[in-house]
Amino acid sequence: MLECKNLNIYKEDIILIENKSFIIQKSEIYTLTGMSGAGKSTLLKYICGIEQKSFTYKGEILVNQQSVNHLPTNQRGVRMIFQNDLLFSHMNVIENLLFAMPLKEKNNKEEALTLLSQLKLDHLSYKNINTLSGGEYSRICLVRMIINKPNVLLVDEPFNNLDKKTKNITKDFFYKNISEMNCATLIVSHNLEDIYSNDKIIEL
Amino acid sequence: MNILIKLFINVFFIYFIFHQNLYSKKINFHAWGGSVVINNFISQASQNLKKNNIDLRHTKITDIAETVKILLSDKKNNNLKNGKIDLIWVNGENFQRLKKNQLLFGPVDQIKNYTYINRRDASLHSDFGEPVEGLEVPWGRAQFVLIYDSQMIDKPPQTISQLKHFITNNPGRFTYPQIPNFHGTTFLKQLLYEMVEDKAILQQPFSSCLSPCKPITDLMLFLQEIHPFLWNKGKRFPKSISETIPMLSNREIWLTINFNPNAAATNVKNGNLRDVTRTTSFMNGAIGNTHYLAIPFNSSKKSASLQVINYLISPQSQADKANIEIWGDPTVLDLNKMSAEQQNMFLGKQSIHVLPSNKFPYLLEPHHSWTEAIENEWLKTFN
Amino acid sequence: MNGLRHLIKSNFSYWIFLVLFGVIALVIGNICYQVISKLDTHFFLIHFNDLLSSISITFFNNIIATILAVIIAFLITNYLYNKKSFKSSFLIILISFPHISYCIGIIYLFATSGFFARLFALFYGNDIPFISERGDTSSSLIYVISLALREVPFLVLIGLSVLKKINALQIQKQVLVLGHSNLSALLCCIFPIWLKSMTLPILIIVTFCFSNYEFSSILGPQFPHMINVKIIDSWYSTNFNLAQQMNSLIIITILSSILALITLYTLMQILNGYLKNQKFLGFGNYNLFLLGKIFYFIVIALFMIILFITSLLSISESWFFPTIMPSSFSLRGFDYMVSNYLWLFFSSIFISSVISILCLLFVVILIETSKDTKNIYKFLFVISLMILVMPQNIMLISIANLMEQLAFFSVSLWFYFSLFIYIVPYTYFMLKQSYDDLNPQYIHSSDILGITRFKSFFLIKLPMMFNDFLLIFGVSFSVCFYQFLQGIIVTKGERGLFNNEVFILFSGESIQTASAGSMMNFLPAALIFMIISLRYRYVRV
Repeated sequence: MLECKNLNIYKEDIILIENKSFIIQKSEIYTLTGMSGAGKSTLLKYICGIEQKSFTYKGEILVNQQSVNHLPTNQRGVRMIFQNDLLFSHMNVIENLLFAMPLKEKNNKEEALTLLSQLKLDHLSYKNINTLSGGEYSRICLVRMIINKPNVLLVDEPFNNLDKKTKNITKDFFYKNISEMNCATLIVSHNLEDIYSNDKIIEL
Repeated sequence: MNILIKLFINVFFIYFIFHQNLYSKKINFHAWGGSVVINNFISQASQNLKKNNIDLRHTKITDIAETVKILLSDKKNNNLKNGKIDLIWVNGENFQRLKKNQLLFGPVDQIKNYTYINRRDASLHSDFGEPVEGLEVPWGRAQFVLIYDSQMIDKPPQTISQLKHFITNNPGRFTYPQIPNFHGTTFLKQLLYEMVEDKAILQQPFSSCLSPCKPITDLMLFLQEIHPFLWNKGKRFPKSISETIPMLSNREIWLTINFNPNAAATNVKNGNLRDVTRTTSFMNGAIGNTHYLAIPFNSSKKSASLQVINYLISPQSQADKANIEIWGDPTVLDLNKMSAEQQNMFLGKQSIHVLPSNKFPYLLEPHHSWTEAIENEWLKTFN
Repeated sequence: MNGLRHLIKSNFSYWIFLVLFGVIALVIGNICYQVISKLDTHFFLIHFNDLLSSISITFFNNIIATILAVIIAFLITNYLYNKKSFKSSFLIILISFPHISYCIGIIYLFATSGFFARLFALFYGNDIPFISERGDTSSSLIYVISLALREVPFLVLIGLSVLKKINALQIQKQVLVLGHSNLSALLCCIFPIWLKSMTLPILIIVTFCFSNYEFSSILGPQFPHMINVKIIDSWYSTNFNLAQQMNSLIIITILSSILALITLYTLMQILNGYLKNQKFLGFGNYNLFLLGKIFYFIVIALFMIILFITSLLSISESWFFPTIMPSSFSLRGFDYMVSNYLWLFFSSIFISSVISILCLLFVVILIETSKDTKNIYKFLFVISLMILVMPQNIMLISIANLMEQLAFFSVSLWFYFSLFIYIVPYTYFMLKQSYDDLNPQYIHSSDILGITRFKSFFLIKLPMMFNDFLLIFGVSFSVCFYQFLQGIIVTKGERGLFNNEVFILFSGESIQTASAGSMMNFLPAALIFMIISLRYRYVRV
């Protein structure tokens, strides 16, 4: 569960976000919408623990009813897919996925290959990530986060680089998996088509 | 403004061309450049030679072996007349190489001031056992000495057994340059002289010594006994005797070797050594050798080079060279062949730091073949 | 102007490249021919056997020094990158420190009568230095650590721009949001990616390790000597056995150097493979800043102390153990250097500057006049690799042999050529980095607007890359200015730089004069780097 209380974000005296509070329970999917520059990505980064120097932040973040404001990013139990997510260039696709597997679990290549095959990307398993197209890259990033089995997931514009057909397949894959994981999910999107009908919406 | 600039340029060119023509005889002198006192001496000599319309240029080299390579290459390429090197400071194995490959001009001993040199003095006319045969002119003398800190050592060693006694009782306070450094090898030859019963054997080629050569074997045994008591337990050696000077001044070592009987005095004067530094040598005799000046076979200024050599062995120049305030390198001239006035020039200030003269017999360098034999055996034993 | 435009339009760069390639191939081919044609296999095998201990000690010392340099450089780079402070600029100045001064300084620091021993004597009260017991093990240790620390500033300089290029901060954030720790980010991701981009600087370090003379002869072990020393000794030697060894030593050096490169590459691959799969690192939230900070200050402190000691030595008279400060001072050493070497000092600055600028212009013209820059980069990479793989001392021996055979070129020309060729890899590599950092959008936009390549270079690229050009000039200048093997091997004393004279003086009895020369030696490159660091302070990390 993710709870945010009285979130305030300022950029040089300009108020970006004021007194925003919300709770996302397990298995719930929320979509965060708003105009460009409203502070959606900034908010996600703050929840995640990535604070930027030019911003001032206030507000409490609780994960599973525990305050995580004082914890570093990797210990908050919050995972995030960035707008420009990065795969590691010294690893091939499968290695990137294995690296993302939960720390307490052993590396399971079969699981990674299964997930790739669900998106028909298994032929890229041993490829160098520099050879991937933009769409393949984005989808691998999504698969990487799925394999990480997060409890709380923040996603920033996940389907931007995809054509309509691929987007639908990917969306189905994505929503299916996060539902199975009972993950509390917050997705940023300004494209209303990407929102599923049963998504709840938070507007900035 | 333009006129001024043009005038300046013209004056500059006129001066430049005139200046170039002022010294039409540029002599390129190849000599080791590591010593400030020697460099200063040569620089002063160069100033004095300008009166004779000679521009002596000191090319400061790391090792005369570089010069030998240039001359070998010149010969190979048939450069017989336009060599760039006009004068070299040389002795020992490098002289042998030059002589063997016919890379030297001679005879060079017909110059005027050679009359002050005793032609019967074998030590001046045999270079590491190799007859000079007029191919080089003696310039200065060297003799094996021991320099020590008199506050640390009451009674300095003057025989090989005393040396061994000192070394074993004062571990870490003596060393010698690593073989195959020229001075390091000469120190071993000095020890060899101390060990052999018949010193004449060392004047014969090494091949005359039956295999295994007992003197060399004994020398290696001796070294094996003393090495554990040397500086760094014989596991590390200085690369040259110059490196031992600051070690001695800092009392890291208390005794070192040198080949200039006046080295201690010069270094004390320059602040490189403590005032308590003294000089001694082996009572039974100390190896002496000579260093020389020679002219390459293909120098284009041989007559000017001869003039330079003539100047450098003149009584005035030799007296300056022997002066411990300037260089302190012993003269090759026979004082008996000089006038009283000339002799007086050599009566420099007495110094307690120099080797007392005439107390330590002069031993000739062994035959040059012993050098390589000793080096090879040392490298085999300790490398 | 029209000629220049024509130059740009033609494939002029390929012709230049062919000539350069031809010359380097001739140099390398010559040494191979000389060595192989004169090689007595029987002799080689005997020598190889005798030299085994020397080969192994050289190999291991140099490999360990390189690995240590890389690790320390990475830790410091990581620290400075995250701190984003001017301190990195300060480290750049240390690149200008002459090798010989550094080596002598190390001796003066750690000898039993050295500076640290004198500080100790203040408390312990000993008037006489302790007995020195330095053997080959301690010598190897001193050699490895000193050489590693000496290379750190150069690696940090390059490493900082590499970290920026690979977007290390973004990688770190990416790793953190996957639940891994800072340590995992650093070691499993940033370090392997950084290492991959540092191949060419590491190659430069490795070949320097195998060809340097100062470190190996002054600090390295003696029983046996490292191969680097043996090769120069055999070059000088009149001893028949030692001189005979030279051909064998050349082959051994080249093979050892190549083997070292292969070994390091293999180690890199193994490390990469190992780190990728490590989970335990994910748990520890250490960022190694403290370690980086400690090493940073150690490196700075070491260089500063050496500089301080050298400056004291240059003006001291009668500075004997156990006094901390000299009892009297004089400028005799400087006076001697100025009276005797001023002209050489300034001409060395001039020669190094001209060669550095020419090299930079040469590479820039090659890149800018080529229609296909990708191929030109490949060609330049091949040339740089050819120059780097061959240790410098071997290359110079080859040039010296060529000089004998092609006697119609003057000694000076060969001297300048041997300096020029040595700095081509440094120039190319740093320039390539600079071109890669340039945002291609600017160039595409200028192309779309119809701006010619010529104008594009002067109006867009040059202003943006000017600081980089200055840095490249600074590094090339200091590399060139501190060369001395050329003056020994190629010109055999006939021509040399100021550094040659300083090197010769250190073999003499006057440490004061040699130190004064050393201080003068340090000045030009230090000034250049100070200017560069001031500009960088406001521009980069």
